[in-house]
Amino acid sequence: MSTHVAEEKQDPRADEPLVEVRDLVKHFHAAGGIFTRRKRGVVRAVDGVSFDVLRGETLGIVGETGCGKSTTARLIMRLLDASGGEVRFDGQDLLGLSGARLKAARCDLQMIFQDPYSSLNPRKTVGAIVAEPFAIHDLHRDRAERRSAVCELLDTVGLSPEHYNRYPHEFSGGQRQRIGVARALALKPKLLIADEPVSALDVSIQAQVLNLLSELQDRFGLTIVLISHDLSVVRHMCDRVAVMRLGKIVELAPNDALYSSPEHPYTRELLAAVPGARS
Amino acid sequence: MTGYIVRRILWGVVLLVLVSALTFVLFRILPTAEPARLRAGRGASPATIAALRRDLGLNKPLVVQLWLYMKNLFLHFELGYSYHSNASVRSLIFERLPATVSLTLGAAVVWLAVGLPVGIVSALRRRSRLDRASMGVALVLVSAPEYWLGLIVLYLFAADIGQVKVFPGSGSYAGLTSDPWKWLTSLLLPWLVLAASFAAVYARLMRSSLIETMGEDYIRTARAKGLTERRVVMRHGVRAAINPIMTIFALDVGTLLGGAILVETVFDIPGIGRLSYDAITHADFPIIQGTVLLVALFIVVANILVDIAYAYVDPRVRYS
Amino acid sequence: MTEASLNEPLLRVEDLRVEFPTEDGVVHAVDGISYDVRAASTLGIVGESGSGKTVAALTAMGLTRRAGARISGRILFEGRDLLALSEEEMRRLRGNEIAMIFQDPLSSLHPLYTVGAQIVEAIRAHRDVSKAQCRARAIELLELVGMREPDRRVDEYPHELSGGMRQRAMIAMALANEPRLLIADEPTTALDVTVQAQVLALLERLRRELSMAIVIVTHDLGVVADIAADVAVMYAGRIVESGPAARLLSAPEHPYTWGLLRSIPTLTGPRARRLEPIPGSPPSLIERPSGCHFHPRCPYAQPDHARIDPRLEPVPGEPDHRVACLLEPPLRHDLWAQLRAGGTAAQALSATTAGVPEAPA
Repeated sequence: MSTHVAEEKQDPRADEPLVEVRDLVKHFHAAGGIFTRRKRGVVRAVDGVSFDVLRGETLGIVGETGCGKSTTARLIMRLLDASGGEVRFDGQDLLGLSGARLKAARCDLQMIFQDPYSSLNPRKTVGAIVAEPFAIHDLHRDRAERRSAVCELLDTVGLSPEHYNRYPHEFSGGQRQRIGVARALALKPKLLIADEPVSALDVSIQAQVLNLLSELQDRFGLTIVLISHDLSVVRHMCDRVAVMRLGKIVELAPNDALYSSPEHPYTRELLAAVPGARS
Repeated sequence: MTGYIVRRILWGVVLLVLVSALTFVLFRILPTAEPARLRAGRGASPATIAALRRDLGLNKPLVVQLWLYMKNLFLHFELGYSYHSNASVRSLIFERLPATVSLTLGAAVVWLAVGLPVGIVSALRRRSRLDRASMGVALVLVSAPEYWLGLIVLYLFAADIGQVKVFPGSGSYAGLTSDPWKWLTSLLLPWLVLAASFAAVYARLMRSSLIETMGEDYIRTARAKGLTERRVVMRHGVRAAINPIMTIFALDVGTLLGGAILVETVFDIPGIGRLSYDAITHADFPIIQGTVLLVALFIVVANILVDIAYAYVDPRVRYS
Repeated sequence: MTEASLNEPLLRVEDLRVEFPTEDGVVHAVDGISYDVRAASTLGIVGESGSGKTVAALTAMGLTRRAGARISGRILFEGRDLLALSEEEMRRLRGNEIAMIFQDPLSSLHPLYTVGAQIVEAIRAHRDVSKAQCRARAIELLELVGMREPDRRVDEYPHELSGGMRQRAMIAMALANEPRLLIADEPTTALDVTVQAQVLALLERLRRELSMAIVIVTHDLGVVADIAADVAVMYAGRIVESGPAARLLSAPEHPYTWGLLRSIPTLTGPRARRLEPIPGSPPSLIERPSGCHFHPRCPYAQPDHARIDPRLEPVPGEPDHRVACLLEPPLRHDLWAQLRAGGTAAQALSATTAGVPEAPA
């Protein structure tokens, strides 16, 4: 089921994947020894993961705790350094970038996080939080211009301009998540990675935030990678789904195929375990 | 676990070596003291001084002196000789140690016995009058300088100069083995004075630690199990709250064993603190050096013991 | 015909109200709820944050007394009013005849004592048994809850166990004195989905084997669908709907329940392009909306819903299924039919009121 893109891109790379991940590996070392930090054991958090993210699609990555889905996201975002493998973003090698070129590339990749209570700096106003990307990348230098850009973003996510001067603690979880989304959209990214965006929210608010993401995807032609442990949420939102376990992808299939006829036994186990699945 | 202990001990030894070396270098660099001149006494001729310098090995390069010093220190526990007091530093220290140990341990007992229960009760009865009063008193005691408190206490209660002649005055210390009663009575006031500010600190610490612990989920579970409130507070709350206090306790005792200078001076107790104080006023460097090393030793040992004890007491620490 | 009339319910809550005075005002956590729990059956209490479900559960255990709560109403356990008991009498019930397990087993178990020691403590709090016997019983309990190698696990610390094993240990501890009622506060929320399934299956098995009643407090309708026989839906401190789970979930009567069911993505059923969220957010418990607490967010609310307090009353033809809603039953019926057919709330509303005369002012 393809999603809608706001306008047809004249980009010659339009039918190439936006993100190509090949054999991505991340090992964490457990330290040991008396004096030296000799490598004792290795935790293979991400153990050879390969997938594409197509332009305009929503790709879901599901799995249980410790499967490596969040680590994979952080590797793509260059929040962690990979131990091996390759990631190409928009045709360009992403893992080899550094310095100014990495900073420029970061404009295109943005992330929203799980915990709305700890992902916003409590000492900054909402306006400052959403404007921070502008400050970092030196955009909208004029104060009035910056303020109006921020208000526009707030409006896009369903908040109002009067929220500009308030602090995060004055907002509910769902609203804080919206602030996080506004911040992520500030640089007009091509890719948005959402790491468990609704897990910490109340059930009736989850739907609001999920709808917001769908709406924004349609409006801005975003490509979204949605990471979640909640199979129902992923089913609702995603075009294709990757199932991860112990650092590897065990199945990657289009939405309908995965949910109606899962192939891998682990996928079947996950689907059968969802409460209410049998009722 | 054994690896953990061994690691801690080895690092402790390394630290002591570094401290000793650093102390040595510092004392050689200090501009005032020229050991040979000091020892030669007044009016000595340059030839005598030169001869003494040769004897004391002060001609040799600094590195060689350092090496000799360290060798003597670690292999023979040779801490030097004080010409001023005409005794080896080591013997002086051993002579003075019992008084400091008595003072420190006694005070420690007092401050734990007073501070911890006050802290516990304050935590359980937050914002009550008892809580506010005890925290207020604690604030006063923490702020009061020890020597001032010591003098006030002597002025009020000392047998010789006090208003209410209850306790022996300053200078009346006697060793435990020679006169036990005198030992006890002469230490009562110093214990109280030394323990005062520590008790206050520990009461506050215990209070905040326990308040935090009592808000944890496992306290709710303990109550849900139907345990008596007393058990919930002591076995679940205090048991968890006391860990950070233990660390601080070991460090405090370690530092005090190096000599509570102010209290020992006010009450004229012949301990390490007094020894350091006298040495400083007479610029007796070997002793100063020796006491500095002693304090370093106590603190390092205290740290190691705390690290090891913590691993026993908190199972989560063992695997890091 | 209700089964409740044949045997008295194990637990009967009557008009429970719990308020907490705070600096910002009085928090009305529980606002007059009544429900029954039958022996050896499972009741699911569903609600979001701020619904009062957890406070209600804690109050049944007497754990809200020390927080300075003002409590009124009755909680009858086997005929005795728990709210009238002294603290000491209540303590003897806790962990004994009524037990509770909590959401996060890592923070709910004491980090400095072994799992075995904590279970032994639970036993010795109420019985005079030797430590050796207690330890044997602890191993037995760990085996009962499906832990492998229970004789090893009994000497391990909570942080050494996985999330699922910790929750099993907590359940074992709660079962130590063979309670007749187990209250489980979000027992699976912090667990992985496969472990959740195991823990729920475990609870169901224990309920049957030990003839124990379970009250499970959760925000997850799927959990309730899986193991609850009866459900009570709570919103802003009140029960808005209650009844047999199967019936309530297939033919819900309250607009909040409709909203919940329609805003949750499912694994089966059609993939809607957009979920239909309930507009707005749950109200503050200090300043609640007047009248029906749900009316500001209810798409079908009428003006007088802000004035009248709805009461929990049986749905016509279903005496066990109760709902607290001011809408007329036939209207509700039509609305639900519209929603089921795929209409949005707005569509359902216009379709049903189109032919209905104005309600008298």
